[in-house]
Amino acid sequence: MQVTVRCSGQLRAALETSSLGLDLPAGTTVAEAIAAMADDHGARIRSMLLDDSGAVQRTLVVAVGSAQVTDPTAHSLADGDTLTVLHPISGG
Amino acid sequence: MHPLTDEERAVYEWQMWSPGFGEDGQRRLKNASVLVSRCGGLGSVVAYELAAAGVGRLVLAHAGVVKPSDLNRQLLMTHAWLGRPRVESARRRLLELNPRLDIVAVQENVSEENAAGLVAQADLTVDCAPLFSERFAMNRQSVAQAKPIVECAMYDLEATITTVVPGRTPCLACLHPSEPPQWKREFPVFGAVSGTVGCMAAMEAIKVIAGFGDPLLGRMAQIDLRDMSFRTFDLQRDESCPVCASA
Repeated sequence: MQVTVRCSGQLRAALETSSLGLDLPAGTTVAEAIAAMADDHGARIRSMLLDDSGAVQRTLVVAVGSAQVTDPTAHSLADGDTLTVLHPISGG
Repeated sequence: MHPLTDEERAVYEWQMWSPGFGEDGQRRLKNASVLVSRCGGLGSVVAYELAAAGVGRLVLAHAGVVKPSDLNRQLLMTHAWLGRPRVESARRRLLELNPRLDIVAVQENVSEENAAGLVAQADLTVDCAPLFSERFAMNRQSVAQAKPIVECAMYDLEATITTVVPGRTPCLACLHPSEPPQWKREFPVFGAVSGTVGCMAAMEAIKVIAGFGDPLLGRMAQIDLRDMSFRTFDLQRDESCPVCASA
């Protein structure tokens, strides 16, 4: 299935893009999709997405469509979903 | 509640035409106090718009002196005030716009030590701090004192806004339970971006105070001025949030 990932903030700057596509097996969870994205990139991106245990960073706000997902391990994605990863920002 | 004077009716006539706001909304603004934490690129514009709209009292918290690198976005700071306290520059500029305004100018940034006292001085806080440690301190105190807080932030050409009403909406700690490790105080910023977000945050504060419109309660707006996209996400409270779960 195809999933679009939208990224913001410093994550977007590090990736040098605001959007990328992932080709994932059916039933992939949000956590697995983010881990797959981390695997496709270097250590810097990985540390922005995952903590030392490999879990999704709690400081990220993650949404599928327009709804926040608070447990990325429990939410399965569907073909055509848009996964948004909001990297925390605090600029004033 | 103090009534409007004839002068105030004349100044605010055009915004009182707004459906759902009216003279009652204007009276609420006049009798309201707002804490603006840091008057930088974002907070300067928040304070300016709240002063223009007729909020009665602003509590401004911002340490330091005006530096050249402030002047691309911190619209309450002026070249003539370089090297002098930022918060005094802010006070002078705001009073030029609205001499009826009551301003409490505090030459400190928000910290764990002063957050309780600063939040206590206002009905609502607009959080424009560049550091999560300051934001978390204000969030904790806003929840503890059951006061709303508009959380607005920007980075490069992007911004986010949400309004926290303790007990009803997620708080900042629900969204970010700990300090994000990658965030640094210095970040790319155009004044046109921080100003855009500042206007939106000021409007959130006005809506909450006056009780009209549809504030971003339990929702986060994400704005990207690079492609002019505006998206809104429905947020959820963290039932185990150490800050607001019992609120």
